[in-house]
Amino acid sequence: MKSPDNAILDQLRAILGEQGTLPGDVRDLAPDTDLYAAGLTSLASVDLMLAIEQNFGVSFPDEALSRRTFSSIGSIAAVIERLTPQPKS
Amino acid sequence: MDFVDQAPRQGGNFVPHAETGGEVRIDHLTESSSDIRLLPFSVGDLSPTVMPEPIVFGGCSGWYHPATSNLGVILCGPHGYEELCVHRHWRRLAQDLADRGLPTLRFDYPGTGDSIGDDETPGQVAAWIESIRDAVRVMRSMSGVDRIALVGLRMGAMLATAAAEQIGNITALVLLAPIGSGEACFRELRALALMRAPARHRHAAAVGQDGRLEAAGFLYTAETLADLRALPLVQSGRPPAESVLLLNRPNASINRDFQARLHGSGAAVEEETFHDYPLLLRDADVSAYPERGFGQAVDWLAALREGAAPLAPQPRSCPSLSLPDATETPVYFSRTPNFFGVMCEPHAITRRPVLVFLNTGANHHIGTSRMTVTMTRRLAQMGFASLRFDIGGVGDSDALSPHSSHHPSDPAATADVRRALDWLQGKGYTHFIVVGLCSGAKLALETTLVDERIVGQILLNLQGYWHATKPGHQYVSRRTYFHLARQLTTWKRVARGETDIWGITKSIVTRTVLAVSTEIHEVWNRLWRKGGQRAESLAGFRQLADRQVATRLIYVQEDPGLDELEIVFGRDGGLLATVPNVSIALLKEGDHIFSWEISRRQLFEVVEQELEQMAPSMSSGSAVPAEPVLEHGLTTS
Repeated sequence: MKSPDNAILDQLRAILGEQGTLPGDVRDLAPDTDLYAAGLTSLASVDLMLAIEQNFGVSFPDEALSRRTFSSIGSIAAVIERLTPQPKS
Repeated sequence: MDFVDQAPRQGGNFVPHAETGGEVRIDHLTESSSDIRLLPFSVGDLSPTVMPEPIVFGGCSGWYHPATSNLGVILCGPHGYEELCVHRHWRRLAQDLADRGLPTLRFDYPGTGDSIGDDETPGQVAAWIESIRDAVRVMRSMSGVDRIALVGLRMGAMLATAAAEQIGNITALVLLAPIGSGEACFRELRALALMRAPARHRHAAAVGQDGRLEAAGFLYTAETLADLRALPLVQSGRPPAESVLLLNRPNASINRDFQARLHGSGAAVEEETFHDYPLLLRDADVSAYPERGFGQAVDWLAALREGAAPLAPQPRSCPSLSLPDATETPVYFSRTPNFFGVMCEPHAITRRPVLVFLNTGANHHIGTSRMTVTMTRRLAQMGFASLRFDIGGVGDSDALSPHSSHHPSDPAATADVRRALDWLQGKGYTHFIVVGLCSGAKLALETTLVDERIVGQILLNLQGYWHATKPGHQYVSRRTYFHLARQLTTWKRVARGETDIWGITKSIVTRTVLAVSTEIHEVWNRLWRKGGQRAESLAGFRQLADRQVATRLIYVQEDPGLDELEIVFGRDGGLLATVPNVSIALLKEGDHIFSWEISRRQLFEVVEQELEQMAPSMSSGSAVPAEPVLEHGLTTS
């Protein structure tokens, strides 16, 4: 599987940092760290979704709204990449 | 609406009754009758602080926090799962406002909390807004204020805004983390439903063909969703209030249209960030009081006080809600500290044990998905009186000490349950059946073991009794995984990467190892004629059987608590089921907290059947229950 884009991961870390939902420093959050185990709740994941939509200018379709998507910043980044139009090479 | 004096008051505080010398107080008075019960009440129980009073109005249940300044505050809470999360802190906000001199009223919207109705009652959204209008009228009457502030949180901010526009002449409006439009509200509810649902339940989390949505245990009908989405906010062309404080979420921007309309309405709008909002909107077990954000709101409102209320407060009653089959009385059954509960007494009184419903985790007495309220009202139709109450530090009851765990898994909470039984005994009830879910079931069992007044217990998805549980884990019982492994759809989800196959495998292996090691221990203990967990547990249940206590364990098949049971007592808990008066029932549908309506309905039917067998109806006519007749367990005896 393709590695998530580092810029997206950094932006996600910044959003989580602003949210203050997860205890501890999120700047070094690994792409596969389980966010729910780290303290993310379902209510907070809705706020996270809204913040991501606002920051990235995307809209999550229903099929992407799942615990699985929001279980790590890597899986969120993968969905964002799918939702973001790729520049033509 | 009639208000009859509950107790003489002076300066917002309870004072001893001049004529009775503090020996009695009026503790029960329905809206429709003059039935007054006098209960023993000691002057020594009076707390020096201003205490909230339970109130009812227009089918709504609430609390009035008295104070004397001329600005009455109506708290318009969030809805559904969010209300469960913040209830305890909403109560403290009301108290903080009252402590600053602002009389404050908080209440449950129609169809929510302890109020009349349910999620399927037609006309919900209009009724919620109308209830805010009613609350304003009650506030004016009870406190004598002529200036009103509305404080709304999340969906409550939407409703407060809509109500303010309809009522007019509102002095102040505080909007906490408002959802700026009905459409956004719908989207958030839908997202919450989907993100809480495990992959195997996703079909139930979508908006159904009937247009209904189940979000985190609460049902939104097609009508409710349509009315929410169409709710006009700041579109009347006049300011919703003279002054508005807007505290926005730090992690999601405010709806720009809503924000622009507020600023353009002519109201004086102050806008800040609700920095500690993320601490508040979390599951009740981990939610924390947002000192900074709520503190900002309290300070802002306190600055708007203008002298004392100009009108004399009207006399009022200690309230009861009249339901078709029962009367519900919200009551503080202790005042040092405050211990709150709702007594539900059927109109047709039967001689059955009283049901006592215990908290689940830090969720208050309405229960997860509000199912305790639904269950108590259904059981009232069968003639069962019940008390649903909060243990110390949960919901509307005070913590006994700063070290309170605010959780029914705390062994000290048995004392709280026994305090409730003492109060019920003072009312003439002598025998009790305790009912609890998850940690509430653990508390029920622990209390039953030490209190002989308990003649039956219904333990739902008991967890954490035989083995410590990991809060928040999402794994289900091994038998459910084995069942799912035989389905093609499961492997399709695995192939799509929607299933945490590694985590599941790890959890199955861990539990299997625990089961094997437990079995080896038990064999070893038998060989050396030693005790051990199984023998000690069985001895405890046999003692209960000797006391004629009926024990009903009910599990949904997927609940990890079932693994806990089977690790100690074998397949289906078979060893435990050999104890007289013990039965174990398994339900096919549902998750740990019965999030889905279909599973709750199935549960209610099973509980009703079990109770019919545990406590068959006896001759009626007395409020004092006679000795219960108990049958032996379904699978044993």
